[in-house]
Amino acid sequence: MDEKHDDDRGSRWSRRELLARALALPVLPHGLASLDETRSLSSPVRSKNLVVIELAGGNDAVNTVVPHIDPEYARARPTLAIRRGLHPIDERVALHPALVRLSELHASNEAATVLGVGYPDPDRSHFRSMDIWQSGRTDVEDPRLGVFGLAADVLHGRGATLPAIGLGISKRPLGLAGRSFVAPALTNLAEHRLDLGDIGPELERARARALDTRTEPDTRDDVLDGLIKNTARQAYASARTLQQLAATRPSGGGAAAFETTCALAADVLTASMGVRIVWLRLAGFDTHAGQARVHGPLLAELDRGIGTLRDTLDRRGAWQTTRVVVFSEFGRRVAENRSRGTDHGAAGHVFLLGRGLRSGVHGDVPSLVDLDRGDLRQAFDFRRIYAELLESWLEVPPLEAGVRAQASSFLT
Amino acid sequence: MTGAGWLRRFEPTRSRPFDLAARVHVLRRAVFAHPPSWLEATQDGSPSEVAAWLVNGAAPDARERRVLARRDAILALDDAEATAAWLWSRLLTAQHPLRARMMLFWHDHFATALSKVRSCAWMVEQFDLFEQFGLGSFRDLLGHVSTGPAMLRWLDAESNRRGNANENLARELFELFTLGRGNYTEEDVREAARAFTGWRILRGRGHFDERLHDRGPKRVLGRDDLERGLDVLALVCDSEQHARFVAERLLRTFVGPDRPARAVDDLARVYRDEACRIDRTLEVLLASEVVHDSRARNTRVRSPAAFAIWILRTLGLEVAPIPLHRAVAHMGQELLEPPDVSGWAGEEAWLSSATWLARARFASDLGRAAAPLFPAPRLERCVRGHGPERELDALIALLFPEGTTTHERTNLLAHAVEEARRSRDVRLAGTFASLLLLPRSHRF
Repeated sequence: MDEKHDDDRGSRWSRRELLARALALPVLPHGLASLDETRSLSSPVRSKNLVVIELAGGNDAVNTVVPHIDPEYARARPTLAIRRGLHPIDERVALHPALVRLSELHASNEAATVLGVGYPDPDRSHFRSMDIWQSGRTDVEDPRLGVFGLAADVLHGRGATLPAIGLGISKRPLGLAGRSFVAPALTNLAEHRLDLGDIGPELERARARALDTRTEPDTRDDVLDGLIKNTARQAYASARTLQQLAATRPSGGGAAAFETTCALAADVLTASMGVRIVWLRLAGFDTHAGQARVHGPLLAELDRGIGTLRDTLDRRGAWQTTRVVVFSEFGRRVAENRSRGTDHGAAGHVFLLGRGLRSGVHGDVPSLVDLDRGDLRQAFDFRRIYAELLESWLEVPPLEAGVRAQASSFLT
Repeated sequence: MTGAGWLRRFEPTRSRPFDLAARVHVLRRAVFAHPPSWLEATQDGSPSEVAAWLVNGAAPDARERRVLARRDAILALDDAEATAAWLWSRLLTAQHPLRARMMLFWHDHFATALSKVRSCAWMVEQFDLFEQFGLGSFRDLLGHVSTGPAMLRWLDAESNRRGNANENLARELFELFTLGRGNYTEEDVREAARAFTGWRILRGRGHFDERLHDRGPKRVLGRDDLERGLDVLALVCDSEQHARFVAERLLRTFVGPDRPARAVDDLARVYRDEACRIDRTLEVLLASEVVHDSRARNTRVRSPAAFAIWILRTLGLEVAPIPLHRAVAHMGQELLEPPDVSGWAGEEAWLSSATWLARARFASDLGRAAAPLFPAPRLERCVRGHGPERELDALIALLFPEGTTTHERTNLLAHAVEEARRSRDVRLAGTFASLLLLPRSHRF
């Protein structure tokens, strides 16, 4: 599928024509009527799930997976080098002291660290690099389709009613943007409700009418009309589904926000709602100044979240059918700046979690001397990881999800 | 001044009249709302006269002056919600609606978040800059915003010192504020960061400290004789790419995501000829062929702010600003908290199931006379109908002066009549909310 945009020359008014083709209207979800059925409640075989954790802002790879035996490390990081409390995960590198659970998962062969992950000709803009990581495309200037959104379309086409969802975020990430399935994104269950009071029954009927597909399109741009209606339909449908989940879920205690979201993710994945892909985000990694003060607590938050997710899923027998992938849009500059922070970099590391994957540390430790304008060089294209997750795990052809990458098999 | 090409003045003809629907479109694009009084004020104007009316605005009336007078009391609180709510009051009472609209535009363009700046006063000061210079010269606006305490804190400029450059401010200046990605090199970013060394915050103001400045020429964008940050800004504002960048932003805002590519060059030329004056550029744009082309209508997704302002100002509803601020935040646009320095993603990104449900709740809360969130907005005051059909038609006439489809009206009427036996308040609230949940209420 070519998502490339028209080059918009001359007097063409064209962008949404593209979108129209991309969306291939009409977009009524398959099996909308069966949303209320708890499909796989009694099914003995659980389908495989994927949790994507986005570390937004550019996580400092060097201080996350620390090349502590390299003398260059201390030289590049006179104030930020971490010397104590590290968790070695092989003979070359060690995890940040805050990553306790992650190091335990390495010890129990439930975690893999892939070193030096990136893409050719790295872009140091947050927005551009995030677009690339989420669309899997370096050749589209303003990508509108995400790798896992396209995968959700495929799963949706196979009958999953709610294949993907973003949790702890109010807007759907690009990574979950597909052609037909509009993935919900919500900050918490309480927000995802309709409380219409005494006008509720009227609105129910009115909005059913408003969304009636027989509405005459009165403007030429009925693509946008379709998108709005589709969003509304899926909002009402997912509100109903999630209300059922909320009814069975005790309201949480005072845990930290990301950890709470991870617990919610575990609930959603085990609630027989047909959710296969969950997108989570932890933000704040843009540590230009005073990095030591914020980076440790952020990684601790990540670590607690991962621990909660893993333990909850494990208790419910769903950990062996779950993969977690943790990425950031780029790593940070090897040399610290004089604000005791680090500037935007290039390659970073990716964590993969789950039972039965090829655990351990994959790839060479990126050199701290042979750099790409001061940044780690990429040795491993992130799309290889995506291709593997899509093909072998979610069983979605990577090409349909817009990922062209050579096959690799380090996961299974 | 008039433009050429797509920016030439729109001359109405019999087949393309400057009718009510056309004026409603321009008002929605420019200032989101179209209360009867504004439609009346513009009803005899030509496209150029309407554009001038928008750009000139009016002086604050008693109500707006009362809002502005609360400034010190609000700043004394140093409270995020109180500050955002007060800014909402300013936006909703502004007698210069285009100036207020541009405050939101610049808040998105120079997206700065209170959560990092941690000073309500500095954020308000930045909004004041948007108000003061937002319809003036972009050079002035850029210079003041870039060296204001909010931006210096937001983009870590304070830790950008000699021999110790922090690139954050310099990078975003090029990428998001003036040129766009791909129009500068990494080397330009590093050198510009050097040029900006020395700026810090002193007693709540942006202050240039010569001693912290990295002296000596910097090589930026092909020039090698630049000394200070402000020299870099001046150079950038002179460039053709900058004019194209601003033109692109303005077209995306006032024409929409679908637009003829040539219009960018046409508008960039106007902007350069007008020496980066935003007001004069907008006066040409709002009266131009490209804004009035029928293909520009209804192509944009209403942002939460645009949705709220459209309803409240068009109907003249008064609501408590703090619940309003929270409701718009739930819809995905928390004032003073843009998601990051690139601002809100906009357009289709506004549409998710969570934000849709927030829109539905906002519509029903506004409609319900006894809503806990909003003190009775007295819908009946602006409708004054008798019976379900006249209520519906009165609301349609206010919200959609350009008309709805027969299908839409028939459906809404059927259910309004069905509910006629219920109390008037409940029925009116239901009709109101159903209108606001029509797909057409979410695009403009």
